[in-house]
Amino acid sequence: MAQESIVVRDLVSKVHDRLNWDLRKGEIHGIIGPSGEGKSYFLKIMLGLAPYTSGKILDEEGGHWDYSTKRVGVQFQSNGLLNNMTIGENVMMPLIIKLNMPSDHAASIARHYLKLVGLQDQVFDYFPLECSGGMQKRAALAVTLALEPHTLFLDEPTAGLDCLVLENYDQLLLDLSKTRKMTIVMVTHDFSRLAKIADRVSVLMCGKMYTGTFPQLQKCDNIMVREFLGSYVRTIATF
Amino acid sequence: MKDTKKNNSKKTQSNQDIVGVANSKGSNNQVYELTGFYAIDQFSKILDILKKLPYGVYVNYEHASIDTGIRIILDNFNAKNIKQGPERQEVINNAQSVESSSTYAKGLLEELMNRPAEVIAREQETSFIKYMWHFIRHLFSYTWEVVRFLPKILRKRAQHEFQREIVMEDTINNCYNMGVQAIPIVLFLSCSWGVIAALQSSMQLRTFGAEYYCIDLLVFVFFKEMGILLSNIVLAARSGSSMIAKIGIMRISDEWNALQVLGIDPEIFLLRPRIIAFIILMPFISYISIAAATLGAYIVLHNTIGISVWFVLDAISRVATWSLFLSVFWKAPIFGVIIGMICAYEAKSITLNSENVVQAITRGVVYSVFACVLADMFINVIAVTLGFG
Repeated sequence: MAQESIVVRDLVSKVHDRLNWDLRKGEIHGIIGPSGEGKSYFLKIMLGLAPYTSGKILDEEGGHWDYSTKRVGVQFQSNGLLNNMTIGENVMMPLIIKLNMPSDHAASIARHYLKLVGLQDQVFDYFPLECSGGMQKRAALAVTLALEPHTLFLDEPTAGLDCLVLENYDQLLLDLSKTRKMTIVMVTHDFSRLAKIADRVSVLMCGKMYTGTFPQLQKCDNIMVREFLGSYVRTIATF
Repeated sequence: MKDTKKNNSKKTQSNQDIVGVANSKGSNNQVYELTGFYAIDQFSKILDILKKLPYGVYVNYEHASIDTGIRIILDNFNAKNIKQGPERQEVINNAQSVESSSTYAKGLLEELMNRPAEVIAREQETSFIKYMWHFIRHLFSYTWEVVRFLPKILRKRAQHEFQREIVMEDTINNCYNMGVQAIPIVLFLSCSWGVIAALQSSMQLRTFGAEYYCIDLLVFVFFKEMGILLSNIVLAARSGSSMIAKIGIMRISDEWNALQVLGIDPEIFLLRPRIIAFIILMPFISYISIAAATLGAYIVLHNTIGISVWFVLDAISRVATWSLFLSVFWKAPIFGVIIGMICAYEAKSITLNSENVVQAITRGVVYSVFACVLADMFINVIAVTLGFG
């Protein structure tokens, strides 16, 4: 039995209804579901950025999960880059402030991570608004990865990326999961990518979470979950 | 028909928001039109409305863009709330089972249906006194919230030298963006005000043969009140609104959240530089405003009664004593704190969507100007009572 990294029990919020969920250490976990079901909201609850009415969120030792005491990285849906700083400064800033790193060392690490996510060296001096949406997404991932988090939360990370970059992105996530034993939670609508890389998938439907592998979920008791997964499969089959 | 008339008269007396009467099937249920709501952020507002609706009111949500969860609650609310009539059964049939909704929704519906009748009746009373009482109560609670917010920001310390450097750099940038760029507006507005004040006061003073004292009066007024007050209005309207908009967009686009998750306090990083900039800017903008208003007054008085520059400078040296001159220096930063705090509080309270940004900007500007005038009144009353004039 894999060790659990986060356990959620009977979580009730304005969009979730006695939701149960668990995240295993080192896995790539995908969260999918219809729009407006509260996937991003769930991620925000995990990060202490949104309130919930009742329920328990426990860490691996059974204590209350507090993101601020853990090494957690987040890539938000809208990137979260500061527009008045260059991409390089955006990556460097948390390293200098949080890890007390000298700025020249932080700059070299920033360049390394920008290269890792597939951005060219000159992007270091670009401002976020000078970059395309895809470049901003990758820069945001570099900001997150630079702090070497143990758990990575990604909210719609592949939206706006082209196929070639997507291939590299998937490989990067697999590498991070294998080599650094990073636990990755990915909220997405990109079902085909998730099918490739995710160890387990959770479907958020009517405020509840249905977790398992794809074959398990396709035999789920809830007809809406089966219908939802079926619609994805039909879309992919059309291509 | 009689029913309709009766209900219409009831409508005007009891609840102005109830806009029509469902009389198509001979019902005696009134209709509440729910419009302009969308997404879950408006959920609490819809619930507030439902709590205040009396029994027998049907909520029509056809023109509101709301999600399924709220529709289920509204359907069930209608099914339970409307009076007996032919369409009651239809509404009940149309309502989806509340079992398909969440526990939270079920709890809310239960709470709505169990609301005491006398509470609803009390909520329906709409009188001017009650409105004023709510306004004053809101004013006090808002002031308390903002005042409580001040030490929270001041107590926090930047953890790192780099952060302090960024805050310093940001403060200077904000001084430029919020202050230096506002100077042309301040100049034009103050100069215009000087022209108006000089025209009107010289005409009145001429009847007493005292038009040559007009400049003394105006210089005193500009130094004492008008310079600072005009600067307040311009900074709150121009720089305060831009501050709320900028921070609001950062909150919506998750930049605020990203900083928080990275362990960087956004209140130090984003709000503090702007509040400091307001405090630094206010005295300088006020002096510029006073100078521009005096210039406007001089232009008018030079052309009407022919006073010279030396006459104006002499008046300034007589009227603007050191204590009056320096009063701008201690009074203006107080208003800087007020504008900065209110705008920072409003910016911080923005959540979810762009509609919040618009509302926050409106509130921020209106409350800033309002609070500055109110604070000015209190400062004057205290100063006069203590004999500092």
